[in-house]
Amino acid sequence: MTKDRLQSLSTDELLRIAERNRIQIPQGVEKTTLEDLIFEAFEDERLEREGNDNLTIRIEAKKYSVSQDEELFLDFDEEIELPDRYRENSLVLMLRDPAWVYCYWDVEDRILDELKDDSSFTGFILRVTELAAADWGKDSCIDWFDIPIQFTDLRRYINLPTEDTCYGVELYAQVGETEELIARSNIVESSRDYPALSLGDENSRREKLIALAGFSTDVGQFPGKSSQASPTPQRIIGGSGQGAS
Amino acid sequence: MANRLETSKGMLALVLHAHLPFVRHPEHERFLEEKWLYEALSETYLPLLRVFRGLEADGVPFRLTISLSPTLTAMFEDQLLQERYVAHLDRLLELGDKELARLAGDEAGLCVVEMYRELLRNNREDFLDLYEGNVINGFRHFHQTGHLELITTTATHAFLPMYREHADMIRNQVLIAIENHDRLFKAMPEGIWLPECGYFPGLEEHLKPYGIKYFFSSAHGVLHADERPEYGVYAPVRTSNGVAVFGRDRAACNAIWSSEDGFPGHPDYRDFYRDIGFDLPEEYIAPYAIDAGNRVNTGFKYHAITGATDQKVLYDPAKGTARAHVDAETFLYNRIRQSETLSELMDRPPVIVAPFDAELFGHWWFEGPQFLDAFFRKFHSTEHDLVQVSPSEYLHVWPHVQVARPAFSSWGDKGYGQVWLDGSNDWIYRHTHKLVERMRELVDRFPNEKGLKLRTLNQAARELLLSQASDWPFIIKTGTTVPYAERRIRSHIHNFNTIYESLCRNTVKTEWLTKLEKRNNIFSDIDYRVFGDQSPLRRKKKA
Repeated sequence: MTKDRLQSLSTDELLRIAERNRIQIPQGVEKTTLEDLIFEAFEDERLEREGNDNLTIRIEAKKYSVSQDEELFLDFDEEIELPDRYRENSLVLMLRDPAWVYCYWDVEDRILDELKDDSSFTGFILRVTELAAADWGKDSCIDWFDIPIQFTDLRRYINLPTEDTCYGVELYAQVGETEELIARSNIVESSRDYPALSLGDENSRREKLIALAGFSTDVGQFPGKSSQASPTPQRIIGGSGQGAS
Repeated sequence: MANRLETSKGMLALVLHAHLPFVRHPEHERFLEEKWLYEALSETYLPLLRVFRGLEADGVPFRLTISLSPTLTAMFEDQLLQERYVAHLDRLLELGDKELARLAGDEAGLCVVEMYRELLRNNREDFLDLYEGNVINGFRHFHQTGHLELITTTATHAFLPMYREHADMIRNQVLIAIENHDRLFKAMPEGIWLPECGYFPGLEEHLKPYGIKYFFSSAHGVLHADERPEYGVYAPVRTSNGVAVFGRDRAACNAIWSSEDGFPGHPDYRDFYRDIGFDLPEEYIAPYAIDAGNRVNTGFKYHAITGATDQKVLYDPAKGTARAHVDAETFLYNRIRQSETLSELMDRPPVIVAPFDAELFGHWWFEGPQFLDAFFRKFHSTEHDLVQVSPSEYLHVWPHVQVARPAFSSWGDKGYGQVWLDGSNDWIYRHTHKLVERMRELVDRFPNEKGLKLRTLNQAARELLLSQASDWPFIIKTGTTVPYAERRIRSHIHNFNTIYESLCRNTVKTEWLTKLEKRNNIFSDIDYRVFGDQSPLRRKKKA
């Protein structure tokens, strides 16, 4: 972003840009201060983004760069609204990296209305189940934990405790002492982020070739997955085992 | 050739992935994001083709694998974009003339202006006279001469791990791309570039039925396979159904990718950021660099990288060229040493696979095409035991490779799906997944339509495919032109849903549909029935 670009905009446009980009603006600031605040916020965000990207992504982004100014959304009235939800029971799980899945769901209006009117309804939970295989068979469950969710929630990132195994998620409505299954997800197979264990008959040539490729041959050395301490996607909740089957 | 491959000390497979999303806006006289194509044509595709022509004329052998995305080839073929590109060149040539007058007396400045004028003139001449407006003609020629192995990627560059629950959708992304490639080059592609190197275990099941013999993966995709790869990334592995996977070599890639430690960061090279579109007064530069109120780059960049300072020195093209020659020699030397080291540990020649975004060469790294030219010439004139190879040539000579199941991976930041699935862009998938289901439903309900309904259903298929482009979540995450990316994805979802609802109500608006067909006109011969389980195309392929 350049200051020239911001200077060419009206105060009203700047305020709307600040609002859209969630930039805190004190009441009654002068236009020049407003320009400075937006400029600094855009710069901070740009530096943070570039710092977070690897080389490949930074270079790839350059092919979409034809200006030093970020494009500003100024057609405030022309935004295309999409439905928030499709009003069907569904639960979808997407593997993001070896440690996190993204989960989105939806519930029929009829069920939501019934639950709203039911005084014994206490809330929804997501039950995250580790499975021995990629099916929901009765004997598949290895372990599970629950995540309470708000009535209006529609998506969440979930931390997976174990790598190289299968997970599925179920959405339950808690009604009195019972749990009513609303939707069941697809099953994802969590990934490993280190080389497979060596075979015992240590092949040093193989280990050297892996090392020459720029990777450690030790288990758990590749820093690919998001750690729980790193900046996390919105609304991530780290799971902890609450029970076993 | 086969014998040379068997006896060499090592092999080098250079791979360029050429892709841009489908951006075409006939509803506007000029459109900012169409410049992505114009800049890539001017700085990458046309200069690369000139390099290839020079090598061919001088009898210098070279071997490259290039993937051309269907969205890019659709834009190459599009008459409106071809005409607009020529108008774009003419505007810049006019600016070049003005710059000659403005810089009169400044010898060093004039030297740089002359370089750009020559580049623009060459581009215009090649584009119109040699390729008749369609650079596919150039790529086709070098494919036919055996210098290039052309492969494809998915139809609209969808990041496939995000659609792993929709096998039919993945098959259509692959099938439509392969048919497009076949139409353009009269040959089926042997390999495929998985967008963003996005792989998940089992993806190969959707590649093999269409004749795909290999794809590329990030290094950790191969190294984290279920079996430790015997040769690291220096030999491919085969998935259980026989499709080969070539892992990317970090050392060769980082030498070129890295703007800090890699070659493109040298102070003698041209700086990407400084551009007269921003440096000169508005009243002078406005006709060439103001677009809808935004200042934009003109491509006239007069400064060298210089270093971490705003006080950039003037770019000296001769120094840039000389540096490209030095770096090409270094790159070759390092690959020779690397292959010697690797071959001592292997009982077959190692293959070093170095894939790059094609647009790195020329657009980001201005001297990139000169680097490649110098590299191929030095490769030819230097004594060594390294050979250039394409993946299919490698597999022809070394068909027996270790069987292993690669791991979920991409070449994105942190190595998995973090770029395309993030707090900023995860909202997309609720909609695009729903569109896949709805498309299936439409084919079931309207299995054999004609006339207006056929057109409507085919347009639904186009909107569905366009909504899946990996470029939009990428841009939303990396923050270059976020409002445009959001608007694009929202508009494709909205268009599809409007069609879906219109068909449900049996009230298709012809005028609206015609406008949409004219704007989003990619895959003109698409058949919506391919999205159904009983698609004739799928049955044909199976047979």
